[in-house]
Amino acid sequence: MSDTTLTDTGLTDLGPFFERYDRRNQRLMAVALCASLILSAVIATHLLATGATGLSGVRVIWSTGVAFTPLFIAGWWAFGGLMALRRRRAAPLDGSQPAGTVDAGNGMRIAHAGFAFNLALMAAMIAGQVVMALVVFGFGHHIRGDLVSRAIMLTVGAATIYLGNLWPRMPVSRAPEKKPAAVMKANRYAGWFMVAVGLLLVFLWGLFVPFTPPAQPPFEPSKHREISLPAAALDRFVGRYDFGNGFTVSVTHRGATLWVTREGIAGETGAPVYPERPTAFFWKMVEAQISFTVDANGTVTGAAFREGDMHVQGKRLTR
Amino acid sequence: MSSVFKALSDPTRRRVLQLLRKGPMSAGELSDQFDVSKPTMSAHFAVLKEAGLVGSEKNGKTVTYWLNATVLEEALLAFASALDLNMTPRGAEQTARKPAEGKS
Repeated sequence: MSDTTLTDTGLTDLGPFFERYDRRNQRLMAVALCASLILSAVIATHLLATGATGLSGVRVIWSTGVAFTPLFIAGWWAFGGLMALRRRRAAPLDGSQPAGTVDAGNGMRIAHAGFAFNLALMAAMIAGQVVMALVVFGFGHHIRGDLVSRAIMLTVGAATIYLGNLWPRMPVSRAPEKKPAAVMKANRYAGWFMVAVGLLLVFLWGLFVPFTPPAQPPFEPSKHREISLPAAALDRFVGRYDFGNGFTVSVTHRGATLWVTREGIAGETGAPVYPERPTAFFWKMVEAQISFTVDANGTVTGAAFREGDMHVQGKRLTR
Repeated sequence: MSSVFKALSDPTRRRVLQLLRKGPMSAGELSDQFDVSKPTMSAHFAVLKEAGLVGSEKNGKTVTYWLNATVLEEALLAFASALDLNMTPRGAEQTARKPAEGKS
C-alpha cells in the first residue's frame, strides 16, 4: 500500500501501481520473446544445416516448436496488452484508478498473482525450448524428459491455482447498470475453472501420471568382448550405408580400426568401432552396435544399427 | 486464516455468505432474511469483514455488502455447510437468539 496515494475521499489511487505493473509485464514479455526468438533461430539454423528441407523439414521444424513458441508468446503479450488497455479505458481520463481499501488490496494481489503466472508460463515456454535445443544438438540422452515435463506442469499448475484462487476477488464496478452480480458470478466461475485446471496440471501431469522412461539398456561396453580381425578383413565393410530418414553413415578404415561417421552433421568427426564378431562392431563411447549383412558371395549388402531402443536396418549405397 | 474458520463456524454467517453469492446486497436486505436483532447482525458482519470474506461500501445511510471470498474460502464454505458445522459456543448462540425472541 505504501506506493499508492491516499486521497481525501478515503479511496486509494491504483493508477501509479498499475502503470508500474504494466511496465514490468512489458519487460518480462519482451525478454521472453527475445529469448524465444534466439532459441528458435539457433534450432532452425541447426535443423536446416543438417538437411531438414522440403515438407518433412517443415514438419520437423514445426514439431520442435520453432514457430509455435514465439508465436504463442507474442499472442499472450498482445492479449495481456488488450486486457491492460481495457482496464485503462474503464479508468478516469486522468489515469487515476480510485478504489476502496478492500478493492485496492484485491487489485494489487491479483496483479501480483498475474505477474507470477506470466513469469511461470514464460519460464516454462523457454525451458521447453532449451530442452528442445539440447535434443536437436544431440544432448537429449542427458535429459530426464519426464522430470522436465513434471517441473513445467508443477510450476504452471501452481501459478494457475494461485491466480485462480484470487480471481473471484477481482474488483468490479458495483453500479447497478454494470450488472455487478453477473460479473462477480462470472469471475467466481472463472476462478473455479482456473483452480480446477491448475489442480489437474499439478496432480495429474505434475505428480501422478506415470511417465514411462525409455528403456535404456545398461551402458556396459566392457561386456562386449573385443576380438581381433586382420586389417584386410575390415576393408570389405568400407562404404556408405543408408538407414532411411536422412540417417546415412560412412564407414572408413583408419589404421587398424573401422570408423563410422554420421553424414550431414556439422562437426561430426565419427568414432572408432571395435569388432566383437567377424561382422559385428561396437562403440566404446556409447552403448551402440553396428552389424553388417553379408550375402552368400561374401559381399556386404547392408547394415543394422542398434542404439538403446533404436534398431534400424540400412542398405549399402553403391557410390 | 483462523478468522476465516471462526467466520465460517456460524450458520448465520454461512447463510449470509450464501446469499451474497447471488450478488451484492444491502445490510437491510440481508437482515430481513434473519430473525435476529440488528446489533447481532452487525456483529456477524463485523466478523465476516474481519475475515476478509465480505467487502462493504457505504452509500449515504445504506451499507452494501458483497462476497469477497477466494475459491479456497468458498470451498471451505461449501464444506462447512455440507457438514452443517456449528461450532458456536452454546452460551453465545443463546445470547444471540434472545433479542430475536423478544422482537417476535
